[in-house]
Amino acid sequence: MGDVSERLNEIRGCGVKGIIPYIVAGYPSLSASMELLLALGEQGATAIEVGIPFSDPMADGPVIQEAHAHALREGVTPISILEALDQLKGKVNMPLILMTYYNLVFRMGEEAFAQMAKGAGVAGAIIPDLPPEEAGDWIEAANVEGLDTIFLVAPNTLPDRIETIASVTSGFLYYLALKGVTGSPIEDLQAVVRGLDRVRKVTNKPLCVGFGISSQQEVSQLSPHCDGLIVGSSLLRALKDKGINGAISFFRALVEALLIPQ
Amino acid sequence: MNKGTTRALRFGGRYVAETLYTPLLELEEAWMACTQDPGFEEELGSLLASYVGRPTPLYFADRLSHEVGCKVYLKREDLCHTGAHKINNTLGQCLLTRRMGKTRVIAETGAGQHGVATATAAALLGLECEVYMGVQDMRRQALNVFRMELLGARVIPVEGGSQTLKDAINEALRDWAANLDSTHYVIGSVVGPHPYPTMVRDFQAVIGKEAKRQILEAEGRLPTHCVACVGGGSNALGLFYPMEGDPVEFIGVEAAGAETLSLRGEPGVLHGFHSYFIQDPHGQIIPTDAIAAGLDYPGVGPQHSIYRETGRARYFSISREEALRGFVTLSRLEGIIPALESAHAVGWLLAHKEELSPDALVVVCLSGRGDKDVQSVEEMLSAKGSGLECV
Repeated sequence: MGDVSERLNEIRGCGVKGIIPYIVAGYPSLSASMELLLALGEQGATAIEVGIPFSDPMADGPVIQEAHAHALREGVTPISILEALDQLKGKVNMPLILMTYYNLVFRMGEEAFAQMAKGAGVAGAIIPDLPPEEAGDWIEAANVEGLDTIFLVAPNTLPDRIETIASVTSGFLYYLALKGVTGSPIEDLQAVVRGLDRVRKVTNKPLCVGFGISSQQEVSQLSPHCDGLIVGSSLLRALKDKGINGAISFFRALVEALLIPQ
Repeated sequence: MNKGTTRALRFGGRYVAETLYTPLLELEEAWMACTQDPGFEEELGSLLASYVGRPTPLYFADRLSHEVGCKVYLKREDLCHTGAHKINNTLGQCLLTRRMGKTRVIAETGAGQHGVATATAAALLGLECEVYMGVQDMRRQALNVFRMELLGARVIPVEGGSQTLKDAINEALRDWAANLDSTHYVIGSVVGPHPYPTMVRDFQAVIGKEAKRQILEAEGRLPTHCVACVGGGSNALGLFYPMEGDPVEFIGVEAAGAETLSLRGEPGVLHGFHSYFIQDPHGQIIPTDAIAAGLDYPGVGPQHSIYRETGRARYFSISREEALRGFVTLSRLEGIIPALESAHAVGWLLAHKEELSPDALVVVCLSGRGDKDVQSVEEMLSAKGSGLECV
């Protein structure tokens, strides 16, 4: 068990739910994204997902695609991002989780990637295009470094497969609120609730939900059914439209929604 | 980069978001059921004969043979209905779609040939059809956009990334993940997550099965060489695969600007599979720049990576000039205007004729016809200020 599940279990012990913002390193610039990271930490983020941009983000909708393309034009690389995170050590008091596509990990090599991530103070990683069946090398390398390997369950994942995924995930189990790409609207909130309850029966590991969460109402309705919520596209949209301060006040509003009693 | 070698037998795979994992298992199951059902083969075979026009001829190209210095046969996939080999695969996948009880197909397209072939099969079988196409390709292949629309398909412009085939695949994968219940994604080449590379190979293997039988009938011996252009690599694999165990040399011809196996590619993972890709040292995919939109893809099907690693096939790249020479030469000598993609295979023959012995027996896959390309070729030739004589 790594830092991510420790933190989620800690807050679960207090009866509180977690909220995990997703940012793209290099969007709008590497330094601005690091400032945003620190500010989100101060505003109550349980952990922070740091996206390493990829040329072909197949699981992402338009908002995150655009952020990835912009960040790549800024010239960031996996190495420059991990170096920037390394500079923040001591200033960050919550777990950092990398989110990136497998080719970037593969090119650096699983072992080198895990070592460098650990060295930069990272707690774990989410690789959405790497299902457990293909993840042997990555899990091995991450285990050596004590990194959490967070896997995903989709609304259409069959029951026995949920068990398999739950058994290999560490940190938390990531439940996808919808079948499409990041940032699509959640059309049936009750279906998400049912999906979370279904997964909850299978695992005691921390359970977080993401993809499409954009409102206080969604946060307050989903939070009783999980241990944490992940907010990406809607936060980046606020960042694009209203700048860093706008993104932070958007995030604050979601944090407040966690405190509204059901 | 030792990784490629150690992983040679692991090319392929299913590197997809969890949402697509279960649908891929279901697709594999449905496909396996079809392969064991004689009714499916019969239905497809009957359509291939009466609708597509198979078997396509294996044509002895007498004047081209004289030019090259050995016997050259052309496998005439350009004579398939819709003008390219793509229909072999789309009919199979659209029949499968109907068997799975789905009502909508989506496809990506580069040159537009796969889009047209999907739209055609969808019209024939009464399926709704939407085709993703990069806006740059829509400009290059305006005629095929109109053909797809005439066939009742909707062409969805892809503005993201390099606005070509790779980005159209990204968009199609996104659409598929959101519309799994109604939709089958008809991938157009031997790429993508398993079972696509295997399934598309099997649908295209009709090319090589026919060619093998036809060359034995015509010449009483196997070819010494099989030559085909490679983008994703479906016409090449379709020709090669049925002769994989035979003493036949396989030549895959890539386009300048997209030389994945012949020059620039490194092992990587994109679009759900592990293979060779053109990428920077960090693993960011680099947009390609081939004159033939159908070859403008930064990767190759996993089976071609295996062939390269094991030495079963050799891969070359052909310059724009050599491809244009193939285009014009075949038109002049045989009265056959090839697709620019297929012209790369002809270009290889002309550029490498010195290494072919007089008793070599070559089968070239003429994967498509060139009507779609005549305008852009005219522009390229006049831009060079050369006229046809110089080619």
